[in-house]
Parts: sequence; C-alpha cells; structure tokens
Amino acid sequence: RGRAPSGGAAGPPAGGPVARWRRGGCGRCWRRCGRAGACCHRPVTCTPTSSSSHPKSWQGTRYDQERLLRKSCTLYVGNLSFYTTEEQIHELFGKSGDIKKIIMGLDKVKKTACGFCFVEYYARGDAENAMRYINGTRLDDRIIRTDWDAGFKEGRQYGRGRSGGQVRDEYRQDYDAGRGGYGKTVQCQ
Amino acid sequence: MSRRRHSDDTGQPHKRRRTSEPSEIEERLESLICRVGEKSNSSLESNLEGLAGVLEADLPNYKSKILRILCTVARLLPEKLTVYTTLVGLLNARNYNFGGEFVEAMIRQLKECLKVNMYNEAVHLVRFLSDLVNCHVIAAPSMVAMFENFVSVTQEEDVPQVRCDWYMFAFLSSLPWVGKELYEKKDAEMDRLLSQTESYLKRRQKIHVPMLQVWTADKPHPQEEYLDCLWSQIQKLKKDRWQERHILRPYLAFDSILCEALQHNLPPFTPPPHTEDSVYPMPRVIFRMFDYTDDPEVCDSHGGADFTVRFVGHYWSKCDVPSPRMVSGFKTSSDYILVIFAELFQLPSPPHIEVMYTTLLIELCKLQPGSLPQVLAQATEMLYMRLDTMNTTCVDRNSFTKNYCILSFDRSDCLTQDLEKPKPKFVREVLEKCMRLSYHQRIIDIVPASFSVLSPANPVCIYKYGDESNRSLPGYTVALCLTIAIKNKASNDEIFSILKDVPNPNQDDDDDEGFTFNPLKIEVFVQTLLHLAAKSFSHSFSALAKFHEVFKTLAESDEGKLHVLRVVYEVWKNHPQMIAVLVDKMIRTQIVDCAAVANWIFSSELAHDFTRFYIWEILHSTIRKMNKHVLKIHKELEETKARLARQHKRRDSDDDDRSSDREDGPLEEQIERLQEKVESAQSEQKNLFLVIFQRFIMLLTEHLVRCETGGIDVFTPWYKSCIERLQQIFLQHHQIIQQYMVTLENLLFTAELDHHILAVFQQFCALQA
Repeated sequence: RGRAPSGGAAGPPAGGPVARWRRGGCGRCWRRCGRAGACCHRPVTCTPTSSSSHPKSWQGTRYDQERLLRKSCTLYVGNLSFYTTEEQIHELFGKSGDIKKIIMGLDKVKKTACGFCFVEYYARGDAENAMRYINGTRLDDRIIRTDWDAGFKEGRQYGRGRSGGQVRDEYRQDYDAGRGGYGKTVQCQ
Repeated sequence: MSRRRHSDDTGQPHKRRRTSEPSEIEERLESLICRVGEKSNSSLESNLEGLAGVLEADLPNYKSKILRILCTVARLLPEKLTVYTTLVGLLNARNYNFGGEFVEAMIRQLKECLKVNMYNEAVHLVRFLSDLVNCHVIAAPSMVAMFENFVSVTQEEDVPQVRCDWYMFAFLSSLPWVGKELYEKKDAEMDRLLSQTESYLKRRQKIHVPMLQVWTADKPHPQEEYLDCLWSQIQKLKKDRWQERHILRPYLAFDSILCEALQHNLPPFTPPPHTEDSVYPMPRVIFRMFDYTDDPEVCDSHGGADFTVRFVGHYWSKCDVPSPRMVSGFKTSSDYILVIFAELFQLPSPPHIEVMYTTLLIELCKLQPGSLPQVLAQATEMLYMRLDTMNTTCVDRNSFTKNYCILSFDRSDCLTQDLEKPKPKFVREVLEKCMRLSYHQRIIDIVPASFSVLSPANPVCIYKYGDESNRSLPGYTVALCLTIAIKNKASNDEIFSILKDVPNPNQDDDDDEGFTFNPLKIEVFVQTLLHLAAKSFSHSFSALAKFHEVFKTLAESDEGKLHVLRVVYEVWKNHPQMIAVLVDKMIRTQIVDCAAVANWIFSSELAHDFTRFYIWEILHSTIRKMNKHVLKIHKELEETKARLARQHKRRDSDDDDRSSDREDGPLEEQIERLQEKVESAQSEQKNLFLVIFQRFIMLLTEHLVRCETGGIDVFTPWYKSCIERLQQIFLQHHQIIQQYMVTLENLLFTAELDHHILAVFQQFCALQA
C-alpha cells in the first residue's frame, strides 16, 4: 500500500510515518490505524456501514456486511481501560436493555483484557438505545466508544496488533495509564 | 482513476445520479419539511415562506406525498406544532383545495389513532387542528362544534372515567393555543363548555391519586391530579383574557397573508364509541419540586405536558438538544431540571428509557456549564432532603441517576438514623451502584471512615466448604471430590455418580428413585460449581451451560428450584449483581421458573434483604421476561395463522382443490401446538402474578397484625416500602393484571382483607374505571 495520497476531501491527510489509512465509521473522515481517539463525527448520525474490523478478514461482500450491521444486536465497545471488568460493562450497558452476552477483548499472547469488548443484546432496539445514550459516556473515567458490529465470530476476541494487543496500542505515542502505558513501538525503543 | 475509486470507497452503494428521480424528490421534500424550524442561518419566517413556495410548486405532482408527510409531522413532531400549522396556513392561502384535503386527511388520521388506542398522538392532532384556526385554515365555529362533541362524552353512560378524562384533556390542553380565537368568535358557547367542564371535574372520582403520587406528603408542594392542574391553569388563562406568552407563533408574522385566506369547516366529528378493546391513557399526578409560586406559568404549563413533549421528546427523537429558539418558555436551568425530573419520576414508568435522562443531563451540563450543574446539585440536595416522603420506586430511580452528584455533599445526617430509614438506605444504594460501575476498593477509598457502615460489602463469594475448619460439615468430602473432578473436566455422568454418595437429610421422604429432592446434593453441587466459576460472569455462565443437565435434574421439583436459588444467595449474598445475572440466566435456560423466583424473593431467608433495590430489580426483570415470553409465542401463533390464511387464499385463487386438506395439515398442527403453548404460557403468567400478590398479602397481613397486637404504629419504613412496591407491581403491569380482575376480587382481595391492603386494590381498580 505504501504512503497514502495527500490532501483533499477525497483522500486521507498526508504526513506521519508510513501507516495504513482507512475511512472512519461515518464514511467521511480518515483515521490512521493506531491513533487513539474517536471519530470526529458522532456515530449516531453515521450510516451503518462501519465496521471496526478491517475488511480483509471479512468473508462477505460489502453489501452483506451492511445488511448484517443493519440487523445487528451486537456492539463493539472501544477505548476501555485494561482494568475494566465484565461486571462494570454489564452494569453500564444493562441500562439500555437485557444483555445476552459480553465477550471481553483479549491480548492474543497474554490472554488478558486489552481494552475492547463486544456487547450483544437480545433486541436490536436495546442496542440502538445504547448507541444513542451510552456511546460517548464515561466508564472508569474514560470516554468509551460504541460501534455497530456485524456479529461475533471466534477469533475476533483477540487484538490484532503485532504484540498481541489492539492495533491502536502498537503505534500510540502518548502515555495512557489505563492501557499499559506507552504504545508498544515506543516501549521497544 | 484512483480518485474515483476513493469516492466509491465510502462503502455506500453509488446513488449519486444527475437526473432527479421521483423517489429522490420525495426524499428531498420529506427532508425539507422535517428540517424546517431547526437551526438555520435564515429566519424561521423566510424559511417557511421559501418552503411554502417549493411545496406549492410540487403540489400538482406530489400532493399525496406532501399530505402524508405533513400529517405525519403533525402527529410525531408536536414540539414544532406551530411551525407546521403556519406552513399549512401558507399553503392553504395559496391553494384552497389543498387546505381542504389536508383537513380531511387529518380527521381521518385522528379517527384511526383513536381506533387503535394511540391517544397521545391523537392529542397532538387535536392541538394541531385547533392551531389551524389561528392560521385561518379552519373556521372557529366548526372547531367549537368539535369540542362540544368532545365535552358531551362526559354525558355518556356506562363508560370508564378515563375515556371522559381523555376527551376533556384533549379539549382543555388545546386551549392555550386557540382559546383566545374561540372566545372571540363564540364566547357564549365556550362559556357553556367551560362550565360543563367544571361540573365534570367536580364529580369525577380520584381514588387513584395516592397510587400515582411521587411524594406521600402534600408539603411543601401539593400534588395535583393532572386534570385538576390543567383546569386551574386554564381558569387562570381565561382570567388573563387568554394572553399566553410561551407559545411560539410564527403565523403572526404572516397575518396579512393568512387573513386573506378562505377557511374550511371541520366535518362533524363524532367520537368513536367505547369498545372492549379501548385502552385509554392512565391518569397522572403533577410533579412539583421547586416553589409553586416561583414561576407559576412555567411550572404550571408543565401540567399540560406540552413543554415536556417539546423539549424531552426532541432530544429523544433526535438525540440532540433543541435550539433555544424552539423552546420558548424555558428561561432558566430549573425549567430544564423540573421537566426532566417530572418525566423521570413519573409513575409507573417514565415515558422514555431512564438512561436517556442521565445522558440528557450530562449534555445540558456541557451546554450550560455556568448554571446547570449548580441547579442540578441544588435539585439533588432538595430531593435528598425530601427522601422520607418520596415513593420508593422513585427513590430507586433517583439513586439510579445520582451516582455522580451524591458523593460531593454532606450526608452525615443519615449516620445517626436507623439504617432502614430512607436516607441511609438511599446512600447505601447509591454507593452500591457506584461500586458496580467501578470497584470495591475505590468506594472504600472515597468514602470517609465515618460512613463505612453504609459502604457496600466486598463482593466476594462465600464458599462454605472452602475452609479446613468446616471439615465436619456433611458433604464436605464430596465437595472436595467434586472440585477435583470439575477441574479435570469431568462429564455430567461422572458428576452424577459422585453426587450419588451424598446422603439425603430427608431420608424418610425418599421414595427410592434416586433423584428426589435432596437439598444437600443441591447444596454441595451448586456451592462447589459457583465457587469454581466465581472469577467472572462469563465463567459462571459457562458453568451453568456445561452442567445444565445436572442442574435440571437436581432442580426438577419445585422445592429443588427453590433450594437452588437459596444456595445461589448463600454463595453470592455479598454480590447482588451476580445474583441478579445468575437468576436471569437460570430462568432463560429453564433451570428455575418464574414462580420459583417469586416464591424465593418472598421467602424468610431473604427477609433481611427484602427492601433492597436488587431484590426488586430481580422481581421486575422476572415479570418482564415472563411477559415477553407470552408475547413472543402469541406473535408466533399469529404469524402461523397468517401463513395459513395466505395459503388458503392462494388455493382459492388457484381454484385447485387437489390435496388441499393435506397441504393444510402441518400448518394446522403447528397452530394447534402453538395454541396450547400460548395457553400454558398465559396460565404460567397468571400464576406468577397470583403468587406475587398472595405473598404480598401474607407479608403485609403479618405486619399489620403484629402492629395491632403490639400497639405500635403501622407506618414503619418497611411498611411504606412494601406497600409502595405492591402498588408499583399493579401500576407497571396494569394492562395484564386487568385480565385477572375477577380472580383477584374473588380469591385474593376479598372484603375480609385488612383495609390498608384492600385500599391498594381499590386504587388500582379506580385507575381504569
């Protein structure tokens, strides 16, 4: 892939180390993989074409994915602290309805929590309410972010970063006490 | 090449075409209409004028679509009522026929809404129609005639009071908009209507009021029943000669255009008759918090619920705080707070999901950082001060949302009180909820040492066979065996064989089948398993799933189910959240049933925790699951019946009668099976409610008898909490419980019952009487 094209609304911004760029959840902004922080546009107004996972690991076509997202009762939850427990997530997300299942995201190597999870509701309406009213609020003093997810499949509970955690924690430059301190590449320097 | 590919990369199917297709125009029209009145660079008047021009031009081709959109916004966007009535007024001025067709469409829609019990939306429609009088679309005398028909509903015989209430409400709540105009044209008729209203309000019964009040005391603020409150506002408005200052009236700017327009007469409107299927809205009691006299107009107008609808409804539908321009009448932060709390504390349930109100408060604090947080803090303080007289259900809702504010105030007054009193209880519940959202050590660190008696327990599991010192307990060795076996991934059969060695303390009752109720077996198995799986919810759920067969067998009988629940409580009594999720899972996997949970909640083992919030969380969740289950099977049955009907229709149209009966067979069988399922589910549901009511009656009667013989006052904090919980069950599920009225009257709530308990039942009956 190499360096992304520069400038303009059609292309992602220039600059920065060689990195992969992808469209944000709203389809309008560009996000660099590994950069902490949420999309600049409120996810609620975004069309449900987002997926927090890269398309390359997804088997279905884009149309299928859209359809799955529209019917989905599962949310991806990001920017969690490594120390946030399933119990806390259950209490917070239980406010919008009965939860069917929570799957904690794990570091592939250490098998410990690495700051994301999936929350599946029984009813789509409950998931929508969570997107409306719980997305963007605080848990463990961190603003958490929710996104529609096409559905959990075995293997997706693991971080895809080279060190085992999430990709965003690989290249992160800042210090984040709730997410293992500095980003992995910085730690290795 | 690559640039085009990037623009395709948005992930959306490529829709942008140069030619305007009809569907695109319709979407554009819908968007234009829905967005008018929102934040814009131009004035509202110029936007309306522009839009009226656009719509007028599109009328020849898109009239029915425009009619449909306008009718829909009239019904669903009451917060922009006057914006849309002005728009309709402008259209009527340009196209008389369109105006007439719109009015007819609205009347049709109103009739439909009333037929399907959509009364809240029907009120929006009535108000819209009345405001059309101000826009010179509808002639005032015909509106008065419609209102005359509304008020005459109060003369109908043998109809529920709530029916007359609704028509009265629809009439009165439209008057702030149109009272002035109607009085100018038809004052004699209006006077007659108002005096008929007054006499109806005097004679209607208000037994239901105590059930719906948030506060049990009338000091410092009297809690008025909603119609009484509305009536006093209307009287005041009349005295002020209908000078109303809060409603935004864009049509005033277009007076010169609108007064040239020809008006239409409303067709005579007969209210649809009362049927058995009619379900009217429940009465309400107006919530007051700040001083009655502080800003009576703003406070009072909340009684009509129009500001509430306008403000909160907008946030709920758009997830966006409305612009100040739209919310005329909101002057101070206390207005926002009052409206939000009024909705949040509404009994039985707030109109919108509770979490919305917390998020709304947070958004408002961000938008008005200079004023709103302080007012919110003051309001919180005020509510805390009045906790002793607040309805228990509202106290729960209050603690639900108070996690943020509570810790910054001095609550030392509650330390000197008995722990069962409302204030200490409240603080305990809030601290427990804070712990659920964080963790135990954090609460210990934050809470001052003097408050430690109110701190939640450390949510650890209590394993009775864990300590060497408990060696002598019966079943200890089996527990050890079981632990090792489970760690070694034993199968269900192996577990069964280990458990066979457990003696049965009920030896005499043992009829030698091997799987009768053995409380010790249950204890050893459940204690050990839950202890091994204690690490997280997921671990416990996996354990329940893996050993589901064992659970089902051990808990086959009713006593078995009850005992499983008891053991769960013994293990996890420090972690109410865990108890709640385990009970939920066990109901869903049919290890226990709803009635068992109900019996367990009222059992003596739980008496100590009976007034704690988590118990009621569990009970209400159980009832909800039962209700959802019944609805789901019912829906399945209806769908299958519809499939059969379609099959018949296809066959009839095909005119082909070979093997027709054979085709029906499987579907008809399925319908029969589903029918049985529905009946059994409904009977289980009825049984659940009967168990709950029966146990309530037993508990309350015990208390009342004890108080009488001991000569002590009945109204202890426990009693208040218990009675209010009973009321909440009635209120929250009133539609379902209505079906059981005969059984309840004849079997449970008979005349011999203590009058304290009977009063609750009578209040409930009065709700839809």
